[in-house]
Amino acid sequence: MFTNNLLYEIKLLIRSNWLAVLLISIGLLFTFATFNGTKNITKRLNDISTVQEELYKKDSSMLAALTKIENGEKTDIPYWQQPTEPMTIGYRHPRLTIMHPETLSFISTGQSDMYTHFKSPTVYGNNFALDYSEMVNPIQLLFGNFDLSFVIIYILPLLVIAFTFNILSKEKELGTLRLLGAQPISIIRWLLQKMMIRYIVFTVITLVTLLITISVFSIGAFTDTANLAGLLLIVSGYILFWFIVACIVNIRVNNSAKNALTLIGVWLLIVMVLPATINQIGNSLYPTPSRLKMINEIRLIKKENEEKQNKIMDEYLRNHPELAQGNNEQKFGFWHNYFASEKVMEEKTKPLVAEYDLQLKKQQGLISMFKYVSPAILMQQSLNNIAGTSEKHYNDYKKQVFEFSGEWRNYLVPMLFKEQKFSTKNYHELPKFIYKNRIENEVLLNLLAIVAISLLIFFVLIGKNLKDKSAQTISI
Amino acid sequence: MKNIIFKELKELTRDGRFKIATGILLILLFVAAITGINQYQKNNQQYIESVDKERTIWETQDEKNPHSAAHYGTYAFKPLFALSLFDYGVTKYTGNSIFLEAHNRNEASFSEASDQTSLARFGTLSINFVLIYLFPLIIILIGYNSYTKEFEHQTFKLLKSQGVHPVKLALGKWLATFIPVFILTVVIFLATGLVLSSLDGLAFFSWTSLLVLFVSYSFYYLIITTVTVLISMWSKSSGMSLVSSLGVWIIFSFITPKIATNFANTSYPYPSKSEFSSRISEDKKNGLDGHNPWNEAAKKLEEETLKKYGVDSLSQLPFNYAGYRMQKGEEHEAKIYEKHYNILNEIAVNQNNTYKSLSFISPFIPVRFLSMDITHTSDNLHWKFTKAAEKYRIEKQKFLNYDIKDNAKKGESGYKMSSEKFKKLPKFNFIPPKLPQVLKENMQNLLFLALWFALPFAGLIITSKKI
Repeated sequence: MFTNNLLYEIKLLIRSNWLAVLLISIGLLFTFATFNGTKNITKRLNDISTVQEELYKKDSSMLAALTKIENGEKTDIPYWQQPTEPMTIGYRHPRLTIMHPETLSFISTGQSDMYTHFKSPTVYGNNFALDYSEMVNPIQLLFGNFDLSFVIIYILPLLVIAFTFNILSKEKELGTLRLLGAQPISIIRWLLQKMMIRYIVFTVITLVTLLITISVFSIGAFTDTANLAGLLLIVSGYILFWFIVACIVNIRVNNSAKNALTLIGVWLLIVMVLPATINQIGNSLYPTPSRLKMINEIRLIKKENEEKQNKIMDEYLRNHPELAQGNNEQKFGFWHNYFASEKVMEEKTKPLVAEYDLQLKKQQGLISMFKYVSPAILMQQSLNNIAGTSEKHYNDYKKQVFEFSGEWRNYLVPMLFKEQKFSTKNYHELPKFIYKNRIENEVLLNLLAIVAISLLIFFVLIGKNLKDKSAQTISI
Repeated sequence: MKNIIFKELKELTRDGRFKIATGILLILLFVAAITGINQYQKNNQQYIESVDKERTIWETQDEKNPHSAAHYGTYAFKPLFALSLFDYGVTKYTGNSIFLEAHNRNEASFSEASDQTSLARFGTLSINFVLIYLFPLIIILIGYNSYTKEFEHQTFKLLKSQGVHPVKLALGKWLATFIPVFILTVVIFLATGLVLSSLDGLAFFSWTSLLVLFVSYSFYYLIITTVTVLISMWSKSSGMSLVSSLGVWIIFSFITPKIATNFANTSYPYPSKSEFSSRISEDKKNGLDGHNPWNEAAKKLEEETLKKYGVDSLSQLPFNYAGYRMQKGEEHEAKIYEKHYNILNEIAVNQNNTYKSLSFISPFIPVRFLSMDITHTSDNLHWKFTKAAEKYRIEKQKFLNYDIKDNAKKGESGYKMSSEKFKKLPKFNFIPPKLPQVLKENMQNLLFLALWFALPFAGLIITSKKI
């Protein structure tokens, strides 16, 4: 019977326009989305290479000056900008901390449109409170990008719905269901087989199109087989979820228009309403403390420091070291004071910064608890994880930059206190930043969750119908 | 026509789906309102406190060199407008404080979105979220089968044979689809207005703005109603009509805005932050540096000043030249910033125009922009705020630099301004544009909405006569 059903279904699919519609729409959507994704990555890479070039140029002239000084030649650089001063290197020649895109970054914009991908932490300044936001039109952030993640999360389910909403009800409405009832197979089994065949056809078309578009636009993605496999698996899992929902609605509601409405209702709930509501509730329950408050408190701490040390001119001198007197002793005093007060500042603001981290962690905790309510959230997290563009990635990047800024300072400040000069030899020893993707890829876990949710609702909602082998459980 | 409307409405009240959908939407609106009010009050309280604290910090400075105070800086905070409770707009993405210091024009930093999880990208449940995304679905739910059900039950011929005028029939069905949503909208806006007007400490709340907002949304619903009924007229079956209407809704509210993002990005790309700042420092390098008396521009200024006052040396000037030079440097730098920010603003305007020009595919876009502008949560408003803050920064620098110019003795390096004088710096005060100006700036959006209403409506009347 299964073979008959299979052959019949395939014939039906080929004859109807559905396959063509599906192929064209998935093809167009994926092509446009992948094209956009790769374009965003290209822009990101271009930005990175521009700053790298600038750094290279600056470094070359700095090295040239260093060599000149080491050879005893004169330079026209004012003393406060001499590259032999460790603090000049620390402030005027910081290293770049670059976050390169992952191989599969093009699949999901995630948070990448909001944050910068390179920073230059200096030896002084509030490195713990650096602003990582990138220049972007906020309207773009509001409306979002047309990327693969949007197509997969929002549009694929709609195609599944359009592909399946009336499988059973159509037979009922055409009057052929009674005929089916007379066949030596229960209607439920017939429907499940039909659904399974359609699921396979749909998934194969989706995955093959996905692979083709990726090979056209970003052939390099094939080097990251683990993540690519993860992507294919999670997409299959997500499609399975929507097929199961469609199957349940077909059995439970069994009226074409009502099926469509119910399915759209479920889509709205899963894709729009639940994530927006959880987000809103998360913000209400665990609001990140206002940055305004943080600004005030940091300012107050600064003020306190100032008053305590009675060194009002420090701030002024920090910005204008050229105005500090030239002798070493005084410079030493200035920097000594500065790093001492910076240390106090850092210690005092630590709890403030920690408070932000904690609230964000709580929000994340809320999501990880509630993400199982909506497979769309699970999908978003998975795709962002594969793409390396989730908020976790960016927070970890911030952390890595902060760690690096410590390294940078620890290399240069001791030189200052030991009154050592910076040399070409030191240049080659300078700490280097290499971004590491340290975020655990939870794709398999999320996949398991999606499949488990799908199976759970499947058995809970139509388990009874399954046990009854006859067709009576469906109103013919 | 009255009969048609009553008949349709009666059918609707019996329809369980409509009741469930409306119930769910009302619950969502309730959640959105409660959480929104809660957040607004918290944020507004923080805003008021921050403004006060920052001012106290400024006013209680010990006596110090005015330029040192200029580097110490102050903050300009963006007020929280009453109607932002209704539509969050882009506030989440813009940041609400700008650090105002000497020599540098800073951007608003620390956007809320960067302090939240990526879930925020799904959207946030606000009153506007329900009204702009979900209400059109209610219209589709009511209207998708307004004609198809007559075709399917074969009652259409019956209707025609009774001599019902086709246009009256169309208008009847059209009104019957619109009226329930209209009533709901009236109730929601009225409730919103009453709640807002009873809250304490709301900034810039106006019933007129709310009324205009109500009219805009109602107009949007009229458009959706017309399109839905028209699709129903054209469709062969209810299923097809429903699928097509939903397709249109998705194109309107999701696909077009997102495609516009990519078009805007390609046609008018934003520079990266580092690119932007390196362009500025490049320009600064060649100009007047208020700190550096030796660069060319500074020497030129010196010559000009001496000539202007008819003296031979700076010591003969009736004021402290260092303060004067500092101010001139500041003015010069401000011009560089103005130039580069104007370029940036132009890119933003062009990008937004890309969105707006796609309004012919989606009436969602003009309503979205209009709504943000009226509620003062648009990026347009944010630009106005940043410009006001910059203007204030320049005035502040002038206040401080001129204090050196007028009071410091020549060659005095340790001049300090008395702590009392800090209080004399005027406070920063930002007033958003008035409604008529907002509407004037939104003429294009209004025009698109009018067209979106007129064309499908004409289609509706013409088609009704043909079927």
